[in-house]
Amino acid sequence: MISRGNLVFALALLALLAVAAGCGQPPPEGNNGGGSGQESTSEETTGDETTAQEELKPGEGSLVVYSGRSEELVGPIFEQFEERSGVDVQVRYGETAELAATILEEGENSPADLFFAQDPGALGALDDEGRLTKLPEDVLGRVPAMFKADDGDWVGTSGRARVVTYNTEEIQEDDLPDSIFGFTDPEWEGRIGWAPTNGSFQAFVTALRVIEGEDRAREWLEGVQANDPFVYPDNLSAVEGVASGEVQAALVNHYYLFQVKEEQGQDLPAANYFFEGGDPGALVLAAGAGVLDTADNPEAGEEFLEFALSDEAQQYFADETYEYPLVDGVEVSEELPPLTDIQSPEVDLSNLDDLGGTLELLQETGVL
Amino acid sequence: MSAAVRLQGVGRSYGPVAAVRDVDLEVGRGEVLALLGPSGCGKTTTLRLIAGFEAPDAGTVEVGGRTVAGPGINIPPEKRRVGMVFQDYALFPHLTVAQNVAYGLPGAKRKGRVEDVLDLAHLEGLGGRMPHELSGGQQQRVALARALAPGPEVVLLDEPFSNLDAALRVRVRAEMRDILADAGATAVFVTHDQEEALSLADEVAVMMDGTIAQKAAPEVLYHNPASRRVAEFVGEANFIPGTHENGRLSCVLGEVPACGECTGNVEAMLRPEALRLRALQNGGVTGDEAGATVISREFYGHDQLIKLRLDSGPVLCSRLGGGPGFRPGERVAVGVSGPALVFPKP
Amino acid sequence: MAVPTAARTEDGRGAKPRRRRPPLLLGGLAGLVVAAMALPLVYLVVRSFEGGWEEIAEVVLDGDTLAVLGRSALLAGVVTAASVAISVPLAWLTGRTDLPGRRAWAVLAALPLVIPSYVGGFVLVSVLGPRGMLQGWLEPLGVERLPEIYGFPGAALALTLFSYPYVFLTVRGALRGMDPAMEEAARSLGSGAWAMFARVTLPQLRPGIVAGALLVALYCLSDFGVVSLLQYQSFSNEIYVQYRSAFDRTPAAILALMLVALTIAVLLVEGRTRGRARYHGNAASRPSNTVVLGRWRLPALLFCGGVVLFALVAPVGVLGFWLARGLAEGEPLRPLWNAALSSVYASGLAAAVTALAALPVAILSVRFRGRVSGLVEKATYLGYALPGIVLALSLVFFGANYAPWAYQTLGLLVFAYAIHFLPQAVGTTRSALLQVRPSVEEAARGLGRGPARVAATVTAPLAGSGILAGAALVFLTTMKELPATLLLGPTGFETLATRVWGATSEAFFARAAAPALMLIGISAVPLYLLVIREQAK
Repeated sequence: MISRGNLVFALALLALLAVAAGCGQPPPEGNNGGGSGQESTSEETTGDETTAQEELKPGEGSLVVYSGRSEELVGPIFEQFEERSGVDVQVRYGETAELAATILEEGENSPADLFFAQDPGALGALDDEGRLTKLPEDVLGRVPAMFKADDGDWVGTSGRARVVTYNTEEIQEDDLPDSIFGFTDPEWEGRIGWAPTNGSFQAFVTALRVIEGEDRAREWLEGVQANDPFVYPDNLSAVEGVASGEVQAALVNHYYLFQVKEEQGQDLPAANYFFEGGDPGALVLAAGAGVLDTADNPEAGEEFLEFALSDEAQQYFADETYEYPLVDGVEVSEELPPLTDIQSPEVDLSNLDDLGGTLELLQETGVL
Repeated sequence: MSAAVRLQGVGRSYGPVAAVRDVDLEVGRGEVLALLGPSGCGKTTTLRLIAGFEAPDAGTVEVGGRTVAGPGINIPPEKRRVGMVFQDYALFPHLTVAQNVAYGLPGAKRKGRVEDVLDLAHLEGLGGRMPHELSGGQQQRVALARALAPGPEVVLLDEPFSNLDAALRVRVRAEMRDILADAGATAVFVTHDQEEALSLADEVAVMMDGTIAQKAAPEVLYHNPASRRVAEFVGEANFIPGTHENGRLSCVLGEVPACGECTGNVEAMLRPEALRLRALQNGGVTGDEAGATVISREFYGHDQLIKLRLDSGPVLCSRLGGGPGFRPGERVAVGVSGPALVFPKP
Repeated sequence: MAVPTAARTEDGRGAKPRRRRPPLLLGGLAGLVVAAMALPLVYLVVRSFEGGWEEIAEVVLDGDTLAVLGRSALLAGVVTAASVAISVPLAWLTGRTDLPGRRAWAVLAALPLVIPSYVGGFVLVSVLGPRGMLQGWLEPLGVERLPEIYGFPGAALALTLFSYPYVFLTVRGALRGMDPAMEEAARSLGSGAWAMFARVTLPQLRPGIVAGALLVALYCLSDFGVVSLLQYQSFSNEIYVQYRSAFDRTPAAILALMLVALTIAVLLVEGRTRGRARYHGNAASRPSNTVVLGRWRLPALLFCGGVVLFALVAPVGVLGFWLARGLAEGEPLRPLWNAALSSVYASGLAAAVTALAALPVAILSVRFRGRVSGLVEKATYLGYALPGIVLALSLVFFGANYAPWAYQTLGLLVFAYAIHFLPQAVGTTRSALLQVRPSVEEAARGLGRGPARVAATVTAPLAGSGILAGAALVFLTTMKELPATLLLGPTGFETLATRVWGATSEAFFARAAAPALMLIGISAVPLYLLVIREQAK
């Protein structure tokens, strides 16, 4: 019978050995074939055949990605790429902002090759610190100017449009105002909903401040707030609220409608309405990525971006996540206007980084 | 023959307070020394200095002829070969009796020695028990056996009997004395009970205020205390004023033979056994008696202590045998049947 | 007349102020632990001063910053008070009365600790929020809108419900260690039950209450999950906003340093109110009398039931509901075994390492009291009160730049866990050590064993179960940890916590429910053992 003292000793010894073993694993290296064989995100996909729908140069080594986009959404893209190119993809998932801060803290010792961001503010911040390298022309050329960095250091991969999702049974499209500012009219009292904690909403408010100025933005917020809008915890509930008739219109991103339709049926009495004429309400946000200056394997990073902007991958975004493909010629759902038709306002997406100011404004006006 | 323990000029202070100062002590091999004193006199600290749980600020400590503490030296307790029995026994609750006793023994000769020591301590057959299954007296013997097992130079005992109830105490004391004697061990024990100290020890060192007031054999201590305070501490003491000249003391109890150095006006100490009482009915007192009234009587069966007030004022106590004695309120004549010891007037 | 110190040291029973210097090894080990704690602080100082004093002044003196400070303090204060208010009666009811099923109640009352705050907050919003379940049930009854759950009320409620068990566990332990003789004395002197509780029991429980309250208060300062979900602008939220908005780490670092200052203030307050934890007599020489509840039985049961309902049944129930709904709709659920194994492995390592690291600090604090050891012990709390993101980034900074061989390895992650959760282990280890009488250790020394052997063969076995309890607590806290795992774990390292997060960030409820339930289930095991082991004594 082991005495307690010996047991504690044994446990301690085991712990020390385990920690030593843990430390012994080398960090992922750039140019060795095959990574360290740890839990890779790619689970066993079916079949070894590569259905070459698009040609990919067989890649080398491993690609380390820091992704602010969740595994649920973009995991399949990485798996596909890994299969096609033979590059071993290792992804660290996290919050976009935290990962950006991490990259900055890591400095020149950062193991990351590619940074995949949910919104471009983070990319802009990294770019300002000179951490991104210019992407090749053939990658940059595939997206419109608004969805890439001026200096070509990052590129958008898919778009999210701000829309008004409205209940088709209660109101007609003509009833909706021409401008987002129309919602400050008292006639809209009690009829609208929004999700002020949502990141895209906050990005929209930031854009509003940039485009129209602080005072106008404040006016808009106060005006809408005076109409007693329904507050939803997230965009999904807001669209559900529209579908159930609780509100007649909600300020959300375009793709939630499709998610809800998938769940509740295609005959949902709801539709998306896009503002026109460069109104701030028609803002299109983008997720994007950039290759880091400290990349061990920048070629693989660029190759991935090529893949992400390939028709196949862009179709994935259109079909699976309902986001807007940024590349010309990719089909979107018929219920969505093509990207080029959306008259989104002119704004440099990487300038939308003053979240602190936006939050202050939201708090001051009582929205948050 | 070197002493088992020797302290020279040992002092230990806590901040501005000196718990122990200038202590000189020697314990011979095979001797049992009692450190006797009131609470706060520094006796436990002295013990801990010998054991090594405290380091002296001044002086040296020698154990077994080897200096273990002193300027520049402080040998840790585990290397001193000093055994200790604590007031609360401090048995290891997670080990059996046998494992407790074996704790201090190096591997090889363990088993045999453990059995020998258990026998020595009258704990035969209890080796497999856990400490909480034993009675208080048994636990104490286990603690002693454990301390003795490694054959230390000296065994230190810190108020070893204070956790036992009175009835048990006397018997356990005797047992302990036998065990120590059988083992031929040198022992130092700390107590505030003078009865314990006098009955168990070969020598008693009385400590007061952090230093040794007197160190002597029990009889010497009892009959020739070095100071008034020692006299009061070691047994009951009566004090009456008087004058001392050439070995004779004149006091209210008449002319009494006396020893002591000071002359002139003195305080004379008489032990209770040195007073004799006689019922005072109609007759008066003789020249070497004084009249008194009995205040109280404590009857112990084998003896009794009578407290009485002399007509001249002082309150004395007298120890008599177990006979009829005297009741409170009775009038008695008090005389002296033994020599007095004189001290300077305070 | 002043009693000299020596007099008090003569009393063998009382605690002696031992002014010995600790052995070098012990001091060195404790020093190493403190140095590890200091790493995040060094990082914060370096980052804070990048902008120079002007930027520091700008952030610190900003009215908004002070408002945030006030909000954090308010939240911590209210949650702590509420936790104490819940826990003391709960602990007393389950430990001292004849409440039916009290052993089960004790386990249930402690279980909310295993629910991660980001899950709990999420569930709370779903149930009590403006579009939540409760609203759905009440609407037919004509209730249009529930009181606002966002902001302070929701954050305080969520934090209270899921962190009160810290106080519950410590108060429970304190109740066990109490000597019934004092209460009996009070009764014999004429005190009624309430008066006795207030004037005799409660003061004795104070060290236990304060210990648990400290954990709760500092946890509130560091928590991010709840305050972000429930939109309460506390420090951790503010720090995160800084990272998210400007990607500028300097203001965030300055704010984090202010949080550290707030933590120190809390620690100072705690130091005053701690009272002096003396050596308890080994767990009551006699078991305490059980109080008969009589007609109070029903209210007591309602109270316990209510707490358990809101803090445990509701969240688990909601999660189960989501899972069931998701399965019914054919949601694809990825297998969880990998993540579960990683969770258990990492948490187990963290528990072992943290328990080991806590030993020198606890031994120093208990056996070698003094200002230095007190400071060392307090220093361990600094890592606990830091939001996980700050701790993670500090180790990213050090790891990537100074120890790249360790960066993004499991070892560094476990190191982060240890820094973060050390006080939990130190607290329980201290209590365990306080139960071991110093005379037993001295006896072992006298028998020829050096300090290390004594620690191994005597102290460790006797304090063993308490040390293991600390390890269990660290285990279940690590299971739910998120920010450090995301940033410092080896790339591709998945735990149940990261899986939950991945799903909730996309509002995939069913996919979040499965790993969340598994996380809760696994963590419940050590918690159960922790709660019932005391009853076995």
